[in-house]
Amino acid sequence: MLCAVQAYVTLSFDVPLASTGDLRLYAILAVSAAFSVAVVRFVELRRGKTSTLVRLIQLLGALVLSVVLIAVLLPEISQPQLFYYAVAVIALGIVVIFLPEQALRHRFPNIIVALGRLWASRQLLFIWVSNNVRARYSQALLGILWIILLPLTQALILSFVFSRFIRIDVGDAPFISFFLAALIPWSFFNQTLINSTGAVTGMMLLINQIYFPREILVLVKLGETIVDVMFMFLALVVVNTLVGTPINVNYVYLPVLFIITVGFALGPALLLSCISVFVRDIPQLLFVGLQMLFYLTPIIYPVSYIPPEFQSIVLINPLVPLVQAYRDVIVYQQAPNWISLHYTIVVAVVLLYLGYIFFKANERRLADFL
Amino acid sequence: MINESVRGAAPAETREIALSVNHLWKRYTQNERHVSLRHEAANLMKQWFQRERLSHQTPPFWALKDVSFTVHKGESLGIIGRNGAGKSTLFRVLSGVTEPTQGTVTVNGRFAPLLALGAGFNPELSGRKNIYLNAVMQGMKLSDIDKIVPQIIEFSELADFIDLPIKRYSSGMASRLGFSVAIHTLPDIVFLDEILAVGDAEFQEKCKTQILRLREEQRTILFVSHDAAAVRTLCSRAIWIDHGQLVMDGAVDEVLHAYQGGGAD
Repeated sequence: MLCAVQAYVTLSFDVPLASTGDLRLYAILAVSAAFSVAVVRFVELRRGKTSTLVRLIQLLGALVLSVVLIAVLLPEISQPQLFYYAVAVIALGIVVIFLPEQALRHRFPNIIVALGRLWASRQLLFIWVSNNVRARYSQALLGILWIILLPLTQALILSFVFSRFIRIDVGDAPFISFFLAALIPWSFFNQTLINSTGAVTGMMLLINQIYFPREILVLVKLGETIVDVMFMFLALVVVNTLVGTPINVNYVYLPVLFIITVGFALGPALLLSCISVFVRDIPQLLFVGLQMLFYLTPIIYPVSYIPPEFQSIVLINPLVPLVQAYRDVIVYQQAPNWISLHYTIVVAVVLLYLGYIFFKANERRLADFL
Repeated sequence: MINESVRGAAPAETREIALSVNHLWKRYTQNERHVSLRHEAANLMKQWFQRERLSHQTPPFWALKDVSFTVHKGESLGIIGRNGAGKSTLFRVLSGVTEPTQGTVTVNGRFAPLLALGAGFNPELSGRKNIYLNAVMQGMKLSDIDKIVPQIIEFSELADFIDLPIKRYSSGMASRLGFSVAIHTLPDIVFLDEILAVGDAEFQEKCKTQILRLREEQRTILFVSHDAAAVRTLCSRAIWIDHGQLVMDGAVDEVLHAYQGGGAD
């Protein structure tokens, strides 16, 4: 377990700032990673198992060191970026320090073994997803139409209201492209979370009879949502071409952005699918939460509309850089801001790790709650 | 009694162990049930106003109490007991669906339970697609499934309907398909729970013949049933479970005799 802890302490320094092409970054990464490994090794040798307090001190030391390094080597880094970096490190650090002991009352699952089992069941996952997708679309040709039609009508109405009645200034871009670009990642996130609450609870009959890695149930739902979003994306391309924001070369970034989006949604989805077995009113709570998140994320308005005194609060939302990145690519035809995205990536990794650990720890209890 | 019969099975011990259960306990706590935040909040309010504890804690229920037995490769074991004796819980623990509270279960080889009445079926899909889904779920590889699909279709007697969606099947047809898949996926350890309730008398005969053939192939079989006659024809050894405890373990005739004499009303 300490090895895992070590790996994660190391990870906390090389995720947030990598890949800007600046060599000084890699120097910071190398020094911080070497430092954290050295500290962990040293403390381990001296005291055997490390206590929470010692690990907390390690984290603080490493954080201070890397912030100082950044201040010295990269003085031109912007304040929100530094803020994102610090939040990311602290989030990872909390996972490293507290999770192993306190977050889990049950046996700590071995991620490697769990992933091995999942890999062994890849054929089941594959056949299940392809069957469900086929069943869904062969059943109703109109099914596809609904999936596209619903967000499109929403987009049309909202863009009419917000560009004619309540004038929201989005620059030169047509409001509908501005809105659709953000709606794609949002509706994926939204739909994945909503589907996940029923992923396990809807399959109790099966869960009670046969064992297979339960995360497959969540992944099957995720697969369906991905296919839905693909159709929505096609609709977006058509609409954008009509209103004059055509496909541009920056679309090559979209697959990467989409992988980040999937990773970001999967962690909470695993968590929710498991909890909704134990607590039955999760779907209702989720509905309220998602509604709030929709308006707190700049989807129907640009980030510049947020008053400065609230900006730091709204920017904590890891969906903001993601939505911005989609907009950069689709509407403003430029490469996304990768440094801001690192914050989202770290939060996604942390949530995925937490969600998966929680899911695996409770997996075998699911059948007892039928 | 138990010790004696284990000693009586001594010649079998040279064979490989397929499954061993050591001091298995399984507890169901009544607290382990769905929580609804709305109810919890309401209860909190009640406690606040009435200044009294609402005790809804019921004592834990032990579904299995210290069950131990060993099954060797090629053995066919019948499991008998009345409703609620703990047979289903035992199978759920064996198949890894739920965790034992105490004790260990060791299974050597692929263990596949027969899915009851289309639990693993997608009603929108054709019978053929569902064969694949069901067989993969039992742990088979896609390339191996291709080979057995014709046999499964023939055994199920559903050749005319195999490309229709399962939702158009009668419940008998669906369970026939489920049984046919289970019997052909050939896991190392076959687990059959009350399966002879499937289909008409003719199909049941066919099932029995198939199970006997599996026995001859030296596959390990675990068979749960209320039907004493079926247990007698299909199994060589039996265990009797009552109120979560292992009452008797021995040759099938002995155990059935004791069960019918004293256990059954």
